[in-house]
Amino acid sequence: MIDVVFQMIIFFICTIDLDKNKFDKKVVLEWARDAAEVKEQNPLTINVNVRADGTIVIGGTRMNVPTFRAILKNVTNRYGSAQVPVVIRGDKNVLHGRVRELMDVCKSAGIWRVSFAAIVTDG
Amino acid sequence: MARQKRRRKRRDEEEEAEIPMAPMIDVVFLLLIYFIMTLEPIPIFANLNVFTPSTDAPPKVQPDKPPEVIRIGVYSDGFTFDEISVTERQLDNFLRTLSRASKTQTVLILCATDSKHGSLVRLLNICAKYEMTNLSVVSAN
Repeated sequence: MIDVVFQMIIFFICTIDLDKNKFDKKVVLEWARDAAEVKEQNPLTINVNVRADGTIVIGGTRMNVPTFRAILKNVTNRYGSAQVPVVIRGDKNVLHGRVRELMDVCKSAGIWRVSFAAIVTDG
Repeated sequence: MARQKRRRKRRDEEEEAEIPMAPMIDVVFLLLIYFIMTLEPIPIFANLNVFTPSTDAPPKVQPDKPPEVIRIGVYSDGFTFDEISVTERQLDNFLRTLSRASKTQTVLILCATDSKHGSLVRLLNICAKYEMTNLSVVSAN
């Protein structure tokens, strides 16, 4: 029995999600049951969370549009704009105007392709 | 006497070498309970890719071939298809019919700033369902 318990603990430790900060819990995503699920994400991906009230959160830190612009500029200068995927995790109730601001920042940084996150299944 | 002392010493050493199992099992169970309680199901996400063309850029002129662009509007009160107000189900039917003809057609999505982001994602989901990948999102006031 102790062996089984140890194996369970090892399983839990191995499957623990260390990237929890990437996904803001206050963001309620819209469903997209017919879209293809994300299998592997580029490690350079910038996940931008936009809450229903318009607050922008990246990696668990609240920030404003100029800060996001500065971060994106820094990253694109280092790796090139074609190499940096941006995923906008917008709340389903946030107004598009707020998302538009982020899209405009991406465009100004030379990123013409962005992705919008949605939920396929509840897991 | 000396032999007895040696035996006792060896016995004492053997007793010291034993690992107390009961507290260790307690700790292990506590760890297990902690991991089970803090376990959260991770939802499976999808990334809906779109192209965000600049409204400042001059349009490409193709005199020989008319551009195959489908215009879909996302507004706070619903969707439009070529300026005609439609429901989500009608939009689904239109896109299904169009995808049968060509999946590479450009779908230009005009999104109003006062519309909800969820509406845009739902539309992108319909496009993903019919494997229409040439999607452009333009914001409209």
